[in-house]
Amino acid sequence: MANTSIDTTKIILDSIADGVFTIDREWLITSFNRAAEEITGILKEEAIGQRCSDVFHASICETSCALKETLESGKPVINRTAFIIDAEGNRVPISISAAVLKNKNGDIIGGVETFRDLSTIEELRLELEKKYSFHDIISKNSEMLRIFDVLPSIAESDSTVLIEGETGTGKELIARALHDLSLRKDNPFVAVNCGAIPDTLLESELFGYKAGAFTDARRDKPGRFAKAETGTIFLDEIADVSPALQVRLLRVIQERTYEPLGATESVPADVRIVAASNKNLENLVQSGEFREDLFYRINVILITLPPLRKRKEDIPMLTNHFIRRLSNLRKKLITDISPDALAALVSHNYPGNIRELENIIERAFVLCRGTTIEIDDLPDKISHRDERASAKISSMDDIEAAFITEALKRNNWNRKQTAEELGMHKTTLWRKMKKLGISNPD
Amino acid sequence: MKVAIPIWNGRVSPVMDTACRLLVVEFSDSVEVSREAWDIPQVNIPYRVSFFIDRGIDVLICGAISHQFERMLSASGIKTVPWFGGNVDEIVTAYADGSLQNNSYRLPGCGRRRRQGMGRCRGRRTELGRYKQFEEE
Repeated sequence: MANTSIDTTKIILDSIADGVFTIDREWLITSFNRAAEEITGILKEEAIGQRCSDVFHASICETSCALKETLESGKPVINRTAFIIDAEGNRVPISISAAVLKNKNGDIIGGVETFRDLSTIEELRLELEKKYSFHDIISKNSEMLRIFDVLPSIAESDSTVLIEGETGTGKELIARALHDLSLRKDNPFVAVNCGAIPDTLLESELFGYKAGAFTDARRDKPGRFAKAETGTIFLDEIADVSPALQVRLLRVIQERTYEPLGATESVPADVRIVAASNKNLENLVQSGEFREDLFYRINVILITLPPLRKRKEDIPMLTNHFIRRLSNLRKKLITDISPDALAALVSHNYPGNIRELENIIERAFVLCRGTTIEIDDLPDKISHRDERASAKISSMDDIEAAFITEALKRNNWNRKQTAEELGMHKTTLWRKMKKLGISNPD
Repeated sequence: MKVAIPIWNGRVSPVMDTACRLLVVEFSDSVEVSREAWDIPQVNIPYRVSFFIDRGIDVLICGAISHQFERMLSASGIKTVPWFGGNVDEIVTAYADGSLQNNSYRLPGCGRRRRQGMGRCRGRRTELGRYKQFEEE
């Protein structure tokens, strides 16, 4: 009878696609299913009785072994990502879960580890990312995809463009994409942050000066317009330009000429102007802080970039993108982010938008000790360390429930708005609320 | 001749790509003259290879290693002797007396013919000629 049960278990384990192996308290492998053989390239006969690290060769064996963790805490480990090196020397991305094994008396006699080959999923993810990449801009948000669609036509037109969007939404990336897609792509792209240069210097910075124009002006100095000749000039934070300089910019746009300081003759300007503002220029026109005529001159084509809180579906893709980029830049071996850390990132509101997300990942790179960014590597305002300590979240369902509840609270329990914010259909949200037992307190 | 072995809990580290500590043993005419342990910087593979070059490593005996890492080491003139495991002191002794090819130090799955689609590790000859080509069964 007992043998029949063992045979049945073996048949079941050998028929599933996930690798499964068990260990005793000495870390020696006691069972090894068929999928484990296929994924690792090691036969069961060779694996049984060996130390699991000598068979499994996982990137986390030394620093964050899932079995060690589960044997110490008694709690299961779910979906930890890592890579193994198979018998042919290939790095195979995998997802690992681990739990303790107990006998009839409840004594821990070892552990069980299941692992899934993520190679295909990883390939699909990279394909998807390629599909949603456009000139260094990554998004699958419908509003952003619409912008991607019209950018080539806008770039071709050579018209003046105004890009509006909160700070950190990627206005300069859009400006660069416009330049790269235009006929001016082989000529200079010059970016000027008008808000970062004092007004007294900005004029000479933009238009240059002639020798003798003022004390210390010993020789001619070309301005940014001269440097951008036949190319594109990107005037960021144009709302911060003083009224006096707004008049001069208006002349450049109207007459396509400008005068360097101290010059007696005008210089022609063959430059495409792309302006950007993190404030709503129309409101500034109404309040008298920005010239109406200049506003209409630069607002020929308007591109409005949505803030990151309105395109939360992009956060996982952007996070992976930053991890890979920083991994190369910082020479640090970090390959992934844990599901609960990612959930915490998605639930944050990002007043600083994509730049803020990038800074958070950069900070996590400094603190992260393993190969995966964990929730404790994130700032307190995002990880909600204190709240978590009291809430004792124990599963992905709990994390998802907390995340959805928080989003509902933010949107005053309006399901349609919440679904839009989370990038899902309202029916999907309703189904998730039902499954997770979330109901409106009213 | 400087021989390096990634170490973890007194054993050969299971994965060279993510190993944290390295034992460097210097031999002169098959006699150990010094040994030193280093922390391996947790950086990308090209920078790890630089770390090996800077320490003048001639031979690396290790557990599992990715093709990418092995090829870069090889291109840098460092001989790799992969797919070995066990107690570090025993491995050092075995290397010195020429008995490293003993099956007991090989990791499971190394050098055996397996079902179609499964791999096998490849033996190679070090300068000392102590690591002979594994024969397939």
